[in-house]
Formats: sequence, C-alpha cells, structure tokens
Amino acid sequence: MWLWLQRRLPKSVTFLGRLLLFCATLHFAALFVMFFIYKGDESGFNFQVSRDLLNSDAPVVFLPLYKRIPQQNPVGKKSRGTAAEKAEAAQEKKENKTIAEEQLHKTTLVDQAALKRKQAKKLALEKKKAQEKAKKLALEKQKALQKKAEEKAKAEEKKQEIKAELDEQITTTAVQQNIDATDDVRYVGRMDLDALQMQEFISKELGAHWNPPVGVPEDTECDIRVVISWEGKLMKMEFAKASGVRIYDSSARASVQKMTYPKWLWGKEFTITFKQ
Amino acid sequence: MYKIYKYLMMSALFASCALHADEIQQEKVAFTVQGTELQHKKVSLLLAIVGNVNQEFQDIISIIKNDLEFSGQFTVATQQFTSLFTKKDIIALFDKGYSFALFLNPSEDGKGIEWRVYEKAPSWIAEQGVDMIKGAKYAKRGQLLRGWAHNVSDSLWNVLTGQEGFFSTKIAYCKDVNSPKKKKVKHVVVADYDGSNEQQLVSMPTVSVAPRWNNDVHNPLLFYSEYTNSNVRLIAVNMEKKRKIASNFDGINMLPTFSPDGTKVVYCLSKGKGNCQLYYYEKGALKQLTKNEGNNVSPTFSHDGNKLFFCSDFQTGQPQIYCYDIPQDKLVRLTTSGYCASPNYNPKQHKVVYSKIIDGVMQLFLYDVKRNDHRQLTYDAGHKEEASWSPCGNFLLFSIEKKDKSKIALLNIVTSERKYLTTEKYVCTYPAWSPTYEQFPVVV
Repeated sequence: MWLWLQRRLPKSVTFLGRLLLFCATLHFAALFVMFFIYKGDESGFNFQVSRDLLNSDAPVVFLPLYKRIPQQNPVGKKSRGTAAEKAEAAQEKKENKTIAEEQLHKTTLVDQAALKRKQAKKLALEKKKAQEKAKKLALEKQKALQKKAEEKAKAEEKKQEIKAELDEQITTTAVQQNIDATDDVRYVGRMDLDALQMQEFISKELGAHWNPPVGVPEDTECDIRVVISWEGKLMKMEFAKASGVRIYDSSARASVQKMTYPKWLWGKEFTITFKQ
Repeated sequence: MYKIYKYLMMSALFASCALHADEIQQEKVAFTVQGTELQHKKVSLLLAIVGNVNQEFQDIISIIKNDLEFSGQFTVATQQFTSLFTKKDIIALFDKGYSFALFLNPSEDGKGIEWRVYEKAPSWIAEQGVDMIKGAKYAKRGQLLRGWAHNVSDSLWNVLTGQEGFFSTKIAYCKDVNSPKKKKVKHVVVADYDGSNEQQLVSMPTVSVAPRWNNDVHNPLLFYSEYTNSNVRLIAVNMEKKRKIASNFDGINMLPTFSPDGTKVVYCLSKGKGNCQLYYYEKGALKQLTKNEGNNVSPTFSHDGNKLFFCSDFQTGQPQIYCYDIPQDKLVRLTTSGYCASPNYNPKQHKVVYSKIIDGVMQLFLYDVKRNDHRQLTYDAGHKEEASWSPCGNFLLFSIEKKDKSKIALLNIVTSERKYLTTEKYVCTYPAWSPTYEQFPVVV
C-alpha cells in the first residue's frame, strides 16, 4: 500500500509524509524513554510537613496572591513637624503681644519714655532671641535634612533588599507591622497551606484510629505505602520501611485499615510515616 | 524495511500509552502522622493452649503470662482449646479484639514446647486473613520449669518487640542480715529478674558487697568483695556456691568490669596506698591504668571494650564521671560539677547511667554518648545508687534509700514505670543485673 501510494502521490507529499513519520517516531521514542526507562523520583510529590512547622511558636506568615513593597518614609510626618512648629511660634507671638499690651496699659504718668526704652530693649532682646531661634531652626533643619538624606539612603537599600526578598516571596507591610525583625518567621505559600491542611486532616483521622503500643522507644517509626482505589477503598498496603518492632508495625497497619479516606485521596498512592 | 518501521512505531505508541496511563492514575504523595496526643495502649495478646495438658504445662503458661505482663506492654488472656483450630477459627479470635494469638503446646516427645505466633493480615498478604509470623520448637534446657518458661518468653519477646529478652536473666544484690554478735553482716543473694525466687549465694559471716556478673555465657560467675581482718578481697563464686579468691592485694580489691568478649577485666585496687586506682587485666598481665592522687572507682566497659567509663575525684575533689579511651590513651571528663558516682554503660543504647546529688538527694542521670547530653531520670526523694542495666537496655535496677532503709527498685526507661522488687523489711543494696547466659542460672 505504501509503495503504491509512493508511486501515485507527488514527491513533495511523500517527502512530507516521511518527515511526519520520522517526527512521530522520535516523539514516541522520547515518550517511551520518559515513561519506561526514566521514572524520575519514585517518591513522587512529597510534601512532608515538618513537626517544627506545626508545633513551633514562631509566627507563620501566609503569602498573599499579590506583592506589595513597603514605603519606608510616609509623607505625613514631615508636615506635622512644620505645622507644630508654626503653631508654637504663633502661640509665642500671641503671648508676647498680650504681655506687651499689658505693660503698655499699666504705665500712666511716670515715664513713658523710660518705658519705651525698656520696650525697645525688650524688643531688641526678643529680636536676638528670635535670631538665635532662627539659627537653631536652621541648624535643626540642616540636621533634619541630613537625617532625611540618610534615611532615604537606608530606605533605598531596604527597597533593594525587599525587592530581592520579594523575588524569593517575602512578606508585605501589613504583616511586618506586627513582626519584629529578630523573629523566626515561617513563610508559607498556597501550596504549603494546602499541604498543611491535608496533613492536618490525615493526622487527625489516623490519630483517632492509631494507638501506638506502650513501651516502644520514641524514635521508632515505620512507613506504609497505601493505594486507594477510585471507589475510595483500600486497595493495597505494604511496608515501605518497617520499624523492626512487630507490635508497632501491627498497630500502624491496623489504623490504616480502619480509616476512611477522603475523595481527594481516591485513586492515589501515598506513603504515611508513623512517628510517636 | 517499511514493515519494520511500522512495527517499531506501533509498539512504541502502545507502550507509551499504557505506561503513561498507569502514571496518570497513581499520583504519589506522602504524609507524616506524628503527635503528642496519641493514646498509647497495651497490646492485647491471647495465649492459647492446645490439647490436653498437665499441671506442669499450665504452670509454664502462667509464668509466660506473668513475664509478658510484667513488662507493662501487654495484656494477656489465656484460653484452652481441645484441638488445633483452622485459620477461620483463628480469625474469629481476632474479632474479639486481640492483636496477636500465641499458640502453645507440648511437643510430642515431651522434650520441648512448640509455639506459633499469629496476627491478622489483609487479604493481599494472607489469603485466609491470618498470617503466622513465626513458629518454633523450644528444646528444654536444664531441669527447672521456670527456666523453660522464661526461655520461651524470651523468644516471644524477640518476635513481638525485636529486642533481646531479659526474662532468663538474674539479679544479684546484697542483703543485710542480723548477726548474733550485733556485727554488721551482708550476704549476697540471687533472684529472678522480677525479684522472685530469691536464693542465698554467699552467706559468710562478714560484709560481702558490690556483686558483679561476668560475661562468659557458658559459665555464670559472680564476683564480689569480701571484708577480712586485713583487706577487702575479690571473690568469684559460681552457682554451686564454690568460692575462689580472684584478687587478694593489700587494701581494697573490688568492682570488676568485664569486656563484652570476657577477655579483659578492669577493677579497683588500692594496694594499701590509701587511694584506689584502676588496673587492667588481660592474658595474665596486670597493668595500672590510672595514676593520680584521687580515688578511681566503678569502672564500666563500653560495648566494644575500647572505652572505659569510671568515677574519680582526682581533678575537682568531688567524684566526676570520666571516659577513658584505652587504645588512644585519652581521658575526657563527662560531668562538669556536682557529686557524680556509680556509672554504668548500656551497650544497646550507648548511654551511661550515673547518680548525682541534686539538692542533697542522689538522683539518676542518663548520659547519651552519641549526643553528648545529660538527662535527669528521677526527681523524687530517696538516694538512688548503683544503677545496673538490663540486657535489653529498657530497664534499670537500682537501690533506693530512705531513712536508713534501702530497697531494690526496677525502672522502665521507656514507660517510666517503677516497681519495687524487695520490701523495706530488709536492707538491700548493690544490685547487679546479669547478662543472658546460655542456661538459666540456678543456685544449687
């Protein structure tokens, strides 16, 4: 048939056909190698959650769906400072005015000139004080500007650090307000959260059915590989790693047989590690 | 050529589809079950006696039952059956809640005991739902009925827990005796592991202290120190009460420890000089190991015989625990402060138990050789001293003294359960747990 077709069909078509066959062969050969020869990591998708994560007192930070970079220098503080200073200055001016007015009212016939001289002296003193204040303010402003410049530089450094950290999925500002920099923070993503929830469910279910025997050393553990059918029944169960203590293995196996498995485990093969 | 090409393509296509489908079906995940809220329970066993048996066999069964229950890990029920059951009947037994069924019957020739251990198994392991884990015929050794029972208990223990049994071992300790001349006298007595069947081994009218068992599995010997008018000499005594002087130097001769192969001995000698030093004995040659101004006592060998743990006060004036590497001639101090004494090494778990004074009371501590950390075991009142390990490493034997009354206690390291093997009626001290000998040692 193929020879007959070769004779009838034009050469370009036969060439394309041969090319197609060649590509398909390569494709199937690759599939053959991938699924038959190289199976990858036999343990499959392992999300063994450590006991430290479950029982630690360290704060656990759940990563959100979006990222937000914190701003280190909020604008409001700057304006508050200047407004406060203005208000203070205004109050001082008001106080000075009232004092001057009182003094003026008190003088009658005695010596208005002397009073005027005194007032002039006072005004001069006040001017000096005001100049000194202005100088101080100027110095403070300079210092403030320097501080701001330093803070800006630090903020930029922090921004860069945060950017670098965000690339590795680090926290947002809302969470950082409640966490000190020195805390041992655990970062948990959505996949880890799902894993934690599944882990919690399995632990509770099996914990309700499993009664480890008394007197077995604390470091005893065994691994049981379980296969659940598509109908949710226990299809197969075997020890991936026995503990060497028959009574311990027997109790673990009994708990696996008693448990009812949720739908998300139907049709799956998984390994359960039993630790005390 | 094209046919070959076609066949190759088709086979590759089918193989990849079949295998790919299998991979799609089985997604592999893993979970860990671990928690502090798990309820530990004793394992429920059924001891089934098959056939018509005499009183002797009934006694054996009751001793086996007591042995397994003494461990604190099992609840044992006994039941007699007239004939061997089918596997279906055995399954019915498991429906009553038993985890294991132990079937015992005397052998046909009467010279042994046959036993089989069954457990319930899923259908893909055992078609009939019951799996025989192990079965054996025990050939009776020695003349003593309880020796046979303890030997069978050891075998069952090994099958169920994977550990070496300790039921065939003995304990030795010193017991104060009232002498007619109001002279202080201590005798050495030997009993079963649970304190039962106490027998006097040494009844000399003097003070006999610090018994230590040897490691020759074929020839059980007990070494102890005996006070004389001139010195404290080291005596070896066998189960037939035949005594022999092992060391008779001036001053103190006491506290021998034997290497696991039994060829090396280290013990304390003062040689009349006022302080005790450790001496190493091998192939007829005696060599001094320690040379200092302090007292060096209570040596204990490690599992490989290359390290020696002992107590000495040469550095701080108060006794501390040391580790001496014999081949490398290297000494390391393990404890840093306090009054620490009576070290004893556990070859199964590589731990050293010792006594330390805490708030005026001697408490037991555990030193983990691998992790290099210390853990306090006891906290209650009463001076706890001279701790000795069981061969399996799960039990500790020690003396506890309160208000001038001393008794022997047994502590389960895993469950922290404590039992007293002697009463306050007698002052009992210096306990020592024997290794597992080939034959159950019986004092003749």
